[in-house]
Amino acid sequence: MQQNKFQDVSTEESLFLEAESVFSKGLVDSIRARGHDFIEQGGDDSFLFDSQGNRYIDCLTSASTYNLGRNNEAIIDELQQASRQTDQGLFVTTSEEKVALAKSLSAFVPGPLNCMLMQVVRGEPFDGACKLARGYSGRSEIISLKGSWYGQTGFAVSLTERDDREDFGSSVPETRVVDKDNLMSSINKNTAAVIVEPVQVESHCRLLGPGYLRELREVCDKHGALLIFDETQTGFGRTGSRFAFEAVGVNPDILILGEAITNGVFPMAGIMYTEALKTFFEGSVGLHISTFGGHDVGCRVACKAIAEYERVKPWDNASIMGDKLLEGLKAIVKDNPQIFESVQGIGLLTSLKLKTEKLALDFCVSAKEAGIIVMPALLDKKCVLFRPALTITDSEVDMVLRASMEAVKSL
Amino acid sequence: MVDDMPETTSTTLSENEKSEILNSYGRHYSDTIVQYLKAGNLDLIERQRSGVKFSDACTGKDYIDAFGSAGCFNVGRSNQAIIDALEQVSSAGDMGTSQLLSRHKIEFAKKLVSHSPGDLNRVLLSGGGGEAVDSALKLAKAATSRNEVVIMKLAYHGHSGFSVSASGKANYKDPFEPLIPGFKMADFNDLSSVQALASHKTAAIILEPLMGEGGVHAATDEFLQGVRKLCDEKGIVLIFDEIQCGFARTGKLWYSQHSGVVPDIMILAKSMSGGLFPNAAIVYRDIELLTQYVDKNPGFHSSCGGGSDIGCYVSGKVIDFLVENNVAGNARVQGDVIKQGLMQLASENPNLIKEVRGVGMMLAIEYRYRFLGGVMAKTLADNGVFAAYSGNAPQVMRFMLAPTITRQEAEEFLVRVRKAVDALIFLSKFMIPFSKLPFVGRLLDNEAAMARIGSKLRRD
Repeated sequence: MQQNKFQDVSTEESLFLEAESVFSKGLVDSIRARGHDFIEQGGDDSFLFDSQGNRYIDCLTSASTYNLGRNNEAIIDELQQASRQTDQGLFVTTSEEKVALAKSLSAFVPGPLNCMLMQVVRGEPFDGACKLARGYSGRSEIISLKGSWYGQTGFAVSLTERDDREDFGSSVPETRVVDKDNLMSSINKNTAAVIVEPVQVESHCRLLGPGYLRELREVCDKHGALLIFDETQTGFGRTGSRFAFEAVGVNPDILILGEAITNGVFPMAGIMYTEALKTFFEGSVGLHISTFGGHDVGCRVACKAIAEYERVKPWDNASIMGDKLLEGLKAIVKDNPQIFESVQGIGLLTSLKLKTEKLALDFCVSAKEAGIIVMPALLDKKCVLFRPALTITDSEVDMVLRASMEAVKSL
Repeated sequence: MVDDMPETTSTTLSENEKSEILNSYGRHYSDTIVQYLKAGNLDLIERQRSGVKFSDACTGKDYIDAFGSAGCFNVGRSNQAIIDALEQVSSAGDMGTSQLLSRHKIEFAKKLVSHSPGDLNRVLLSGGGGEAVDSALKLAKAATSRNEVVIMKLAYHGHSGFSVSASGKANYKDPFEPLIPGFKMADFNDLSSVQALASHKTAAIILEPLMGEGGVHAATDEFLQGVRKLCDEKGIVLIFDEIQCGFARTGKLWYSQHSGVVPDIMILAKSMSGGLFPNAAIVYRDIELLTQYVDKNPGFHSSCGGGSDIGCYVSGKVIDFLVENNVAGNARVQGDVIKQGLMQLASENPNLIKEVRGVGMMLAIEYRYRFLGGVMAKTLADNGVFAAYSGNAPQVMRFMLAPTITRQEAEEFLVRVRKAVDALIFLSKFMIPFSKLPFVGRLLDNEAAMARIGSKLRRD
């Protein structure tokens, strides 16, 4: 990592002004409001750097993307090598790279999910999963749970209960968002699919739990509805196993993968599904296409990242460090009942709930001053999420906890 | 730039290795795609990729890439300047954090704005075309507090929730209905049909000013001017999808510049990636309607992985390359050469070729018979041209070669196309009379059936 220490404050300030004019003042204000009033300049392992040469422990990791740490050398080397040897490729053709990824991904992902469709960023695979479920089942209703966050595309927005959902006009019809207690009874013979996140990250990392997911699987089977797990943030080791569904022992029919598939070195996301579901896509060509989705360079990068996941097995460390982080944060919550409500999570997906949204934002600001980058959850904005690299060390977790304690003091 | 082939990854593939790849692809992704490719002799494995060409790993045969992933390679394939840029930026860091600001993001957005027409001064980054279309439609609907969108018949905008709802052809939508309501379909280049659908309930009119999948149809200046005026009168957001026609393909950096009509939102993807690293964006006018909504709701759209530090640096170099090398000018000159050559072929074969259309390096031949699209793809492949017929108009063969093409390559392309047409003439002598029998005609026009038959013939 090369650090540029020559920039002075004034050029940084001028970059902010330019960002206000070319993106939006609202965006820059919202970033400043959580204390992230700096220009990011890369990162390394557990750390994120700003253009002034400051180092922070990255507990944001671009929303659970950098599971193997920032600036992973082996994967970046592969990106560079692949870009010299190949390119995007023609998305209509087969390629060695696409097939290599298919093989390594289906070996990596537990269970019978051996077929796939790759896309670019979160949201798109969610829409792809909903379309596949409708196309395969011939049914139209898709049901999800309150408190889920799926992304920014059409189906994702329709099935996420967010404050601005009405802004975007009509939702996709026959999509329903129900309470956790009403989900089982909502499933019926018109239900194409039920889609859930095993951990509702943006809603205080609420765990659905093994019992609940097993029952959900049974009820779905009874009605012939498909079960879709969105593991965008829980996948690739974050919850202490390769995927959250593996630990629970409940196989989905469709699995949604996030950008952790390349460890943040290449934009890629996708869906995996059973051979039975693949028959739908065999009916015709071009039913659901992504130009950048089966990118040959991206496939090379993802293959390398998967090899690194296999080598490092970061889920083991995520489990141990996650427990340590959770225990440490629990102690902080216990000592400061006037500021915090609770803390919960699994593996290195941890949510700290404060008394107010304002307190949550202030905590992010103070935490940045104390050396860690955290951000509030997108739905329950009283929560601050901790999702560091899964390779974080014991002493770095201590640093996160010390910084959190410092942040509390200045609240 | 075409002579310097990049280093190869491995030696030539054997037939066995190739069929293993095809089988695995069929098993994990889609066997139907493999059958289609086999039917069109397009079941090749790309190896060396350079400029307007690539080679087949199995036979070593070189192909002129006239498909170009529908307009992703406007800097040419394996462009050294872009590869160097990728290497440089990724040596200094990773994709960065989508929730934070960085120099690369800001500088790219500034560069994009500085090359955008009129007051298209604001940028929202995303990861691919579909997502960018969704962001544009969300912005238009939210800013206007209206729900309806006027779309064009045969339009293609992508496969995500909003973009597929905006599709102008039913086959992309039918298996997935009900999709988002409120999309009203007008006839392209027919202002009165747009006027009939546009009202105070209309949030946006979205169109490709040079329609791609619909069969390469250019909007007339009068149509675009009329739509612009209509939008101004009714407070409608005008959206141009320049995903296929942008980035110097048609002789201008943006297709809209031919007419001088500035949209309220311009959507970009494909070639923005340099054919190497996905990136996409919308550029929107700095007008109160749009700017105010985004200022108050900066989280209305965000992209995880789109607009990354690596992507933005690479995309910036794409713009530099296109501008510094006047790729638009070259697209116009070589596009004229190719178009003239194709028109010559059309005048020699009026019973086969109905029309030659397009601008710059976005050209098309329309055949008189729908089934000729698939047959011509095969005869082109046999003669070293990889081309695909339009997704929404199979009788139209699209040619989207890299606009960095040299004169010599343009001539070579025409020689290969002429050979393919000669082969088509031979085949059509048998097929056209047969195609007039109702049953055979229906079969020939059924792409799925033809793919299965063609693929079977190859196997036997």
